[in-house]
Amino acid sequence: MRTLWDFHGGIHPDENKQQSVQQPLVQAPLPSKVILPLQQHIGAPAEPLVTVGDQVKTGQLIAKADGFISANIHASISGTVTAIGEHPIPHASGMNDLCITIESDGKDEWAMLEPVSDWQNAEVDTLLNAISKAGIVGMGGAGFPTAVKARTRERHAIDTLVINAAECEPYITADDMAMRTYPQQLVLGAQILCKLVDPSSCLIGIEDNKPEAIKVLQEATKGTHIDVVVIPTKYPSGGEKQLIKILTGREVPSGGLPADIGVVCQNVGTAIAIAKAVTLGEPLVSRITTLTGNAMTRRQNVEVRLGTPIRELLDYAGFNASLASRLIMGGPMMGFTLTGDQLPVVKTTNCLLAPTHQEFPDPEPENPCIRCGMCEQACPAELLPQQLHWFAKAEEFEKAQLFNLFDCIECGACAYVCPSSIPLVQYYRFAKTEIRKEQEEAKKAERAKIRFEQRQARLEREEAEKIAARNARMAAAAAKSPASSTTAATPSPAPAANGLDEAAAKKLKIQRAAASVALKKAEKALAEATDDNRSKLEADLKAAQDKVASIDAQLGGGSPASPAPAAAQATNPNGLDEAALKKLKIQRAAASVALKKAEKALEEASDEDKSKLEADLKVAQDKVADIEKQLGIASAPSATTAAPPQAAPAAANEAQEKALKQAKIAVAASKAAIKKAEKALVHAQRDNDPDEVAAKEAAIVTAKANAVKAEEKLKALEESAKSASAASPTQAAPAADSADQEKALKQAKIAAAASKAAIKKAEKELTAAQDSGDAGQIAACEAKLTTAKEKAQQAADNLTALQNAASQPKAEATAASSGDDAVADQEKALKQAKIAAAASKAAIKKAEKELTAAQDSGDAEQIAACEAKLSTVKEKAQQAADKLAALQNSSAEAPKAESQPAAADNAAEAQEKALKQAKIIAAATKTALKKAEKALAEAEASGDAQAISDQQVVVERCKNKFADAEQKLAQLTGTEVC
Amino acid sequence: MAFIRVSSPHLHRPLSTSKVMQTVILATLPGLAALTWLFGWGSIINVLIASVSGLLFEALILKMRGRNPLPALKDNSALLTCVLLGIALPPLAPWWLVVTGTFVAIVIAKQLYGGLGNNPFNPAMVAYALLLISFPVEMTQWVTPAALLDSSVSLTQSLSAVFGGAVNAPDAFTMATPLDGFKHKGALMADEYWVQNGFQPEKVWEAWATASIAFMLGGLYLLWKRIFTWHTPVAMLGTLFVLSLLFYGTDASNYASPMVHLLSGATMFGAFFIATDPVTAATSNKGKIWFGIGIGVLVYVIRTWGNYPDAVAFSVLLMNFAAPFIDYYTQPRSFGHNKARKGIKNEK
Repeated sequence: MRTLWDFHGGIHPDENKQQSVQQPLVQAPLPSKVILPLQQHIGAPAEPLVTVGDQVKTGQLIAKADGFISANIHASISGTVTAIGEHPIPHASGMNDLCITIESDGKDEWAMLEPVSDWQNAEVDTLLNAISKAGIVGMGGAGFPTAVKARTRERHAIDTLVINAAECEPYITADDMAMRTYPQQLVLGAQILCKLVDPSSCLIGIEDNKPEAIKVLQEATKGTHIDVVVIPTKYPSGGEKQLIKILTGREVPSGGLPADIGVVCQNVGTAIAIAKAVTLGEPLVSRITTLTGNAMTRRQNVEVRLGTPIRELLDYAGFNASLASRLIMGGPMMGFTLTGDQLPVVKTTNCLLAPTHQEFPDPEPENPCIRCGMCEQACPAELLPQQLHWFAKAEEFEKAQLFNLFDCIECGACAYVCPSSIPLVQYYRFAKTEIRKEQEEAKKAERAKIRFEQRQARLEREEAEKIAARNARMAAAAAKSPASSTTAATPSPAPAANGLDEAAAKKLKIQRAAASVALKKAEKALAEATDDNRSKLEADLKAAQDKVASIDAQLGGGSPASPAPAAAQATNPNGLDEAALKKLKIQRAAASVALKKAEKALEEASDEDKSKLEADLKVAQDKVADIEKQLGIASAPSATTAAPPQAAPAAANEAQEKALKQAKIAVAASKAAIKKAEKALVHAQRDNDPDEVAAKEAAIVTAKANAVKAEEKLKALEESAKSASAASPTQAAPAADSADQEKALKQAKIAAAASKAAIKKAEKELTAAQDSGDAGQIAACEAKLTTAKEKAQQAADNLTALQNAASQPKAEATAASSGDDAVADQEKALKQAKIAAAASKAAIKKAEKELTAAQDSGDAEQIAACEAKLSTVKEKAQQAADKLAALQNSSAEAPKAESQPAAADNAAEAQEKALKQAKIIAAATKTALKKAEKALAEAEASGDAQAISDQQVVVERCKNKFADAEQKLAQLTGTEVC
Repeated sequence: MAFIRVSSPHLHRPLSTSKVMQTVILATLPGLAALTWLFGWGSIINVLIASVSGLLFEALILKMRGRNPLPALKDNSALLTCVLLGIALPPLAPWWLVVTGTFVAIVIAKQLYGGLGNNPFNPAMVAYALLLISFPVEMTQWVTPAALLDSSVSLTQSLSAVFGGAVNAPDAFTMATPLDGFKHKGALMADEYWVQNGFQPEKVWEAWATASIAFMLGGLYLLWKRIFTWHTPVAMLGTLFVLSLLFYGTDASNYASPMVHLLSGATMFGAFFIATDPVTAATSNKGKIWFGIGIGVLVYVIRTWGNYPDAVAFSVLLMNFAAPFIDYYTQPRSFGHNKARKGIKNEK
């Protein structure tokens, strides 16, 4: 006796199989017509090979498999194809599908059949071909193409072939009668399958309620390696997964196939069909169907041609419609009700059940679930049916899936036992359908999203390509147009080039608008942001500003290109100029708004943000000035129509005016700075902090000096403007030149501002790192800071060089203004040096603060690091001071007689400053020394030897430093005295 | 020709909710008979009052909820609740106590939560617990076993006790239950207590054990009929047995024996008729075992160290709280899965 396993749950409904096994299996009468759906299987529908009006013979292929998982359809009678179209098909949903209708000629003439001769020695492929040609599908219910299943050996190692003869559903006896009638063919089919699948064992699983069939099979399998395994009757042991569990103890994994555990399972009817296909060459044109139910008088099994309308079968069976409570295709547990009798018999129709009202009363009304758990005891899939029911009812599909809804085989055991008559399976089908729908929709949405993204990417790419092409053309045109403007003084307008320029300008403007929006957003976000993410947002803002600036630069590069030739060519149509003018004016308005906003923000801002905002303000001011300049250039040509000779000077005037304005702004800014510094001084004095006071005083002095310089510059500019108004037209060319230069200058300024912001950020990070006390991070931050400072230096150098270059041509152009320019240049350098000095001072202060903090914390390593930093910073400060002094000296030596006293003043000022610095340093070192001594005293009090020695070292260092500072101070005082 | 469309399965086992409830009511009959035989008419009077008032309340509240009362009354669920409550209440309890109980059970604990299948707590036990807390005196007076009385309490005496109220206070024929007595034995050793008690305690003990066994028989019948599974009663009784054996084994003079725990009080009645109420219990087989263990532990703990002599009602109610949680963590391993899922989080 074989070991058998059991599966959880299961039920024992009344079998009701006796009614239909009293009569032998007979052939059903030939139908008058057949309706053959193109899809009677799982997979793709078959493709029709015949047309309406064709004569077909029984067994002739009329639709061929379309794709890998599909099946052939054959004519099941001889006759004429009368229709190929939609027809109701037997399906739970009562839907229509494509069918081929054949009107019988009553002769049943068969097509030529091609059996496989000597199948034992035939190739596997030959056998598979024969099966697939015959259109055989799983006849137990699912209808999976058999040839595909028989091929599983190609991908899986199969050790067991199971012939499913359990037939566990009540009422159905089709397999039982097939086994009793065709035992030899069943064994033959099993042997053919064994040759295809090559298992180590072949088992026929049959329930013990079919003793006749068991006896016959045991006879037939004598001398073969096929085992007839009798299993206890329990529904649903005929379920593929359950039968495999019973026979092998293995469970088909959730979502997997029997082949995954080395098993292939085929139905009895399928095996017989295989035998017929291979040995007789007979395609699948008929099947055995049970006609049963008390609403029929002739309850028996018939071999019926596929496609037979069930009306004809019911007539044959003596069906009494008035007695029937319903008409079911399939068994009472898993079959579905038919809504009409025009439906055809298909390859999977194993039973037609017409019960009376006494047999199958109308379903009871659904009562509330009392969670009795009987369904759980019955479920062969070991699910919690009542929980699934609650989830399905509440449409909690996610939970239903978590409770393994999709492992439900819809056997109906739960609904069978439910005392509350809840149609549980219907709930599960509903939930499954909804989930599948959701998944389908999600997939669709995902696909749509991908499509959209791809489209966007393509559009962007195309746009970019277009822009690149345009830019290339524009560059070519620009290369041509200056040539024409220099070579030909004759009126040769370049409308094409202008058109291009305008288009480019338009595009740039659109981009600029987008960037402005981004900028605004970033500013808003910054305003609302917390301190935590401020740095990130600032970076964003910076990026946005850069973008705007770059677009502006492009715009500036693009639009001046059009006014430039216009300036050279007085014949240029005015319309163009006006358009450009309008554009520029709009830009100016926008920039003014931005400026105002920035000023407002500055007023409202706290001290911390002020410097940053001032930089912003500066950028905005520059922008306004730049646009105004462009506007000047642009409006100049329009003036040329009236007075062409004056055009160039006008442009020059504009440039000068712009410079004037800038100077005025600088004056105003420096005055504001003075005020601020004074305020800070008052504040510091109130706090009684000598260091602070000294620093603030120094700051005020610097600010005042700046203010003086700015005013001087303003005066100089005003004078030059006065002189320029009477200047000659030769200034035209330099004006155009200077536009380019100024652009470069502006970019350099932006770069400088950016690098300063970077320094600030790096310093912030460093402070944070020092606070956290992570040595590695501190080092990293310091390195970063150094890099940033280097970059800033480069940017400043660059700026200086540009400014020098800017002043160079001017000097060449007009000898009169060269002196002024040189002075301005020098002043600028001086200013920069002063800024550098101030910055380094600030750095010193910060470093000192940090050192103090470090000393307080008593971390020797950190103290050393801070001291090193302090010394570096001080060196830098010294360098800056030196540079400043040198510059002041050189400005004093400048070839300008009237500026001599000023230079002397400067020198004195420098000396004074140096003195002050030295004093500050001395004070600072003294403080440090005091602190260190205090710390030493504390350490001594605590008696910690290590701490004492550490502190002693610190004190020693501080003393040395203090001595150095004193010495320096003494030196400086000496020079001053000298 | 057209036929109805029905979803499969088309077969249905002829066992309906009302049949299930009816079977359970039938299964209480041995216990009820034993109570009547041993303690007089009180329990039957309780059951009758409870059933009549309970069905009235059910019909009334269903009407108020806008439902058709007839199908609900026919499903026997209200009747079962009332029968169980009537059995749980002390015999000869005043009529108003019983009516109050059915009101709480049917109207509050069952229908206000949504009716059959939706109540989180066992309605009969909600009513019992509420009455025990509100009317401790009435609820702790249990009738003296008839075998100890000179003449058993007649039906008229019983009726007058039930409906007469305080006028005919049935002090003459009430006494403490074994559990109650044991609880309040004070410093006496267990043996001394049994001896000292004036009412021939073996007879008291015998009466309670007989009633318990009668209820157990009814429960076994239900098990045989597969109305519920063995998991909850076996887990509860097993836990109670093991715990009481453990303590009794270490200190027999201070702890009641396992037999006392299993065969007196509401243990058997609770295990087979109260804890098995499917609506309020855990669902899966594993879950039912944990549910039963929880009740067993709580019953022993409250009986031994708590303030109440018996504890089935409180234990069942407390475990009702835990049932949904137990359900989430005791899902069975489904077919084709390597292990059971715990909780409701997606493990992906």
